Amino acid sequence: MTLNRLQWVGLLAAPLTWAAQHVVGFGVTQAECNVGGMRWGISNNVWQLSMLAVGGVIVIGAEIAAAIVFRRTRNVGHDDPPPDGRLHFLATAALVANVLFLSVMLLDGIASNLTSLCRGG
Amino acid sequence: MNGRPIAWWGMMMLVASEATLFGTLIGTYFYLRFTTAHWPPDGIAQPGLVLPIVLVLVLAASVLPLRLRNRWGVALALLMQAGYFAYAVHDFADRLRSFTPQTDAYGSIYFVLLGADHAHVFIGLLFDLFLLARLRTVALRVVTVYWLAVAVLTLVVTGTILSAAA
Repeated sequence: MTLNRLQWVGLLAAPLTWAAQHVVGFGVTQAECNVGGMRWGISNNVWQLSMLAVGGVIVIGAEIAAAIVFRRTRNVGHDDPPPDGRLHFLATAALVANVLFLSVMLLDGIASNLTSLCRGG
Repeated sequence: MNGRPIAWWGMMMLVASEATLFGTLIGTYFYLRFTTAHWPPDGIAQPGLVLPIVLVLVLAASVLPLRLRNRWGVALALLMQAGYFAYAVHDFADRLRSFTPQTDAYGSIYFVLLGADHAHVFIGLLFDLFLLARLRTVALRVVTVYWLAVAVLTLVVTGTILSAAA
């Protein structure tokens, strides 16, 4: 994989994975708690933990991708001409953002397993 | 794509994070709306339609003078955007007299959504003032991206708020 593609994987994989986990997780909760979805027998805990595990692996992969790009462009400054400057800048941003996305996904996944679902609002 | 300056990428990342913020706020708005029988609740008046639509279109059109890429363009854009902001603040204060964020869920999401949007417009005005003081090609390009994003966000936020009148 080229350094350019690796940088985009490092930058975009984590937010897209979090978005998918969040949206699908909301749908799973709705399916378990509402009359229309109850007959499907969807288990919220199994789905949430599965998504957390798969999502966690993807985000760690994205962090490794960002770290590789960061290391290979470590002699490049943020103000250097593109594409090297952009690769280094976005890899730096991805290194930080991926940690935040992993934290958000952990909080999302753990909270949805620990809290009592299906309470009337 | 390869020729864009780093500042442009930085602004795109800011826009992406702000879009996420507004996405969650708008999601919250419709979640509350669909779980509430009467919207707006508690006898709160429905928002007016005509003036907000006209003004948000003025704000959207203010991106065009920025494309002139000179001080006159920035000054014209600033005038249009400041006009929108003056109305927005006036309307915000006026609505606060009839209900507050503590009144109910509608009040909370209404003022948080609009307040966040107005804050973005205010920050954009500061960017304009910076450009008037020190006009630079890259900065103008980046600020234009910011205003384009704010215009789209404001259109979506206004549409969301006005959907209560539908």
